[in-house]
Amino acid sequence: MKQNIRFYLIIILVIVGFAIYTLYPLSEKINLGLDLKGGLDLVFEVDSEKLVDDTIDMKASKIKEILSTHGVVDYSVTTDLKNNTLSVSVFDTLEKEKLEEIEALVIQDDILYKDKGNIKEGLLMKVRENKIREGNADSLNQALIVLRNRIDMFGVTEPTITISGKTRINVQLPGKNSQELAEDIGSTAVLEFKLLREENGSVESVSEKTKLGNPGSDYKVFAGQLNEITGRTPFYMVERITQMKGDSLADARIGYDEFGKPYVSIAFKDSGAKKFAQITQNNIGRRLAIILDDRVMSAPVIQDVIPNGQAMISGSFSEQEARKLSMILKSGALPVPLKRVSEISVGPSLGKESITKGVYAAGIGALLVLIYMIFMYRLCGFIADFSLIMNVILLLAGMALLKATLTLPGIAGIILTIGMSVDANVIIFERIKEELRVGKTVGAAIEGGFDKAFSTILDSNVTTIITAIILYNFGTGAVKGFAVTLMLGTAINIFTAVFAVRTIFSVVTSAFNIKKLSI
Amino acid sequence: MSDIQFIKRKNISFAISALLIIVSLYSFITKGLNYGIDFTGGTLLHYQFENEFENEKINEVLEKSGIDGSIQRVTDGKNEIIITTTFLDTERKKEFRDILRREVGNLTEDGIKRETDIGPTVGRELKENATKAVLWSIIAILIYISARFDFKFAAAAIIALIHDSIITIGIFSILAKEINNTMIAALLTLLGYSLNDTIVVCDRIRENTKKFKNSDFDEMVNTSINQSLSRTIHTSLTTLIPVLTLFFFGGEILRNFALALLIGVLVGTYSSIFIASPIITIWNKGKVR
Repeated sequence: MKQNIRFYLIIILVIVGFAIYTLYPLSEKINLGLDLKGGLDLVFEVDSEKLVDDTIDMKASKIKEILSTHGVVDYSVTTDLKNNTLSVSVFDTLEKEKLEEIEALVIQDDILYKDKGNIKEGLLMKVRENKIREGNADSLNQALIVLRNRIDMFGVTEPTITISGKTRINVQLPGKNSQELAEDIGSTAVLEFKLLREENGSVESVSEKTKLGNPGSDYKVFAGQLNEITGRTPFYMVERITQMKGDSLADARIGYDEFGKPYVSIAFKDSGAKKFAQITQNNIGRRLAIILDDRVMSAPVIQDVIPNGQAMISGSFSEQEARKLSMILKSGALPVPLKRVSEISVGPSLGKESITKGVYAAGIGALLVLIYMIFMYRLCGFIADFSLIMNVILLLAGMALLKATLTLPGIAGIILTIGMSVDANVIIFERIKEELRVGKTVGAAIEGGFDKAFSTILDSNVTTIITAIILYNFGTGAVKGFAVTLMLGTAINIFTAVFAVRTIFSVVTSAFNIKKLSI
Repeated sequence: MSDIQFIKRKNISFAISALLIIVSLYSFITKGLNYGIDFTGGTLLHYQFENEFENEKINEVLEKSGIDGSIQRVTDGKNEIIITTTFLDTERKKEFRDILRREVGNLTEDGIKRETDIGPTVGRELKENATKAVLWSIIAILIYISARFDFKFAAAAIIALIHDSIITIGIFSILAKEINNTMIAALLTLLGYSLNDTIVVCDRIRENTKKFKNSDFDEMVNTSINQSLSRTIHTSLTTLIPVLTLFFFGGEILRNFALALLIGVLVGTYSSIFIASPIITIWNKGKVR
């Protein structure tokens, strides 16, 4: 028995020693949540509405291409973004077989399906929205990579970027961050090149917008960039068909024109360069709109063929904006449009205040509990206090080892653990008192007290752990942090109460050969 | 050991609880709950201005900007205010901040303590998840206690839990305190705590059932409560001490959390003695022993 006690004591000392070693130095080892160290927490969600709209537009362009490659001249392809439908009609007089062949080609699609009608009188097609959503998982992973690249380029240190659920990405940026950063990181950055309508392709301000007339099914109106000097926003009438997308960029960098005005120069990869050369060759004299995320950046006139795949995006932006744009373009477009669904920004001063207040409250709370226990249980109170302190040290060490994040509710969890952890001791002590009252010797009373208290301690703590696990699974952010401290704290509590406290009892009683227990 | 007749006087405690539950439900139905932006979606702005200002001024700015919102002064801060509004996007938020700077006073970067935007869909989901969390915990606990004890104990524990949640939420409804994400954490914790208490008593009853096979069941339950009474009081106090320090010194954000725990500890301790144990005796009467 003596041998055993010595062995147990060594185990306890080793564990506590290791815990203290793990925690040194404390400020580096405990991972603080954004609510404590300040920072920006963003949740992006796939903008499924926009995704569906974009897909339908893309499909419309594709169908038009099919029709024109098969020699159809007079046709209409219209989209209805409210009902997510698309209708196709061919007005050319063609043989029945030819029409059927074209119809078959149009219908052959993974996302669209035929609803009713035929291509001669009007073919109505609907969208399989679930198909679009199925692709989300892959796109979300790609989007995460793009976001990470952008964040790295903006020079944010230690970001945390994780996919949550099926359609969301959670980005956590510690430290002081401007909210504009949030916008830049999440911009879809889809770069498109579309031709302006040859006649009456643009107006200078919103008041003239009506002059552009009805876009019909072949054109679409886009807003341009606000002109800082005139204070007006131009509007453009642009072809629906996208000539080219900016997803094959080899490079994007900032440059300065002869007046020292910044612009962004982009270079296409080989295949893109060839396509760009062709587009410029076929459309000399026309205006090509460079559109970023549905906003026309500029619409220069194509002067000549551009064979080397070099293009320039000039607009009214500052040097800083041009630099940002070049970085966003270089990191690539997001495969799916994202929208911000939640944003939490905590200033560093609030975080510091919260820590100070939390630690202060914990300190006072712990001190009062320590005093209470000594007052109520005398010598045994000291043992309970020792186990309480051990509990907190082990809890912090456990958090450091698991790299768990300490949040403000987490601090509350620790404070609560302080109160609840003495519960096990109270249960044991009350039992020992009862045993002593029946007239048992000190040794037998301790033995009996622990044995009888064990099942109570186990059951009551296991139920708390069950609640904590469920809380962890359903909770978000800060609440998860609370669940972790509660879970760890309760588990450690069982260990200290049952194992450590018992060992110390044995040491104390055997070392001093106690006849009367101060309890 | 104390010898208080808890079981015999159960009608008194049942009457008290019934009254509390009726008041809670009445407030819940007529007043409802004051859901925070975590659940409804919206924007929360926590600012510290460099100069003093009147709350009226902020309300004026809100009205002028056509923003629907409410304000709450941070009591232990200096010139600090929490403004809760409907969901504002980045641009509108920036605009609003500029107007505040013009109309109210200097607001430095450091003075922007916290800004939270929660989209309505996220809010709805958080609410669903919170409800799921509470329901699943109850189910899991029911299973665990049924396995470790007996179904009558599980039923009594769950009734006590529901009793505690209704009263705690009811008090929050009466006080018009905000229900947010952290509050759900507090609610679940106090469910765990109340359960803890109930289990300690149940454990005693289970032990005594084996020991005193021939004694009266009601008598035995009453003895069990009395035997574990000093433990119940000590633990409630040692838990209340840190919760109280948290309430007084933990700062604005944790105050509601601490309040929920405070109510929860009191109600939870009460229910395990005055509600759960008598229910076990009633449940037991319906069966052949």
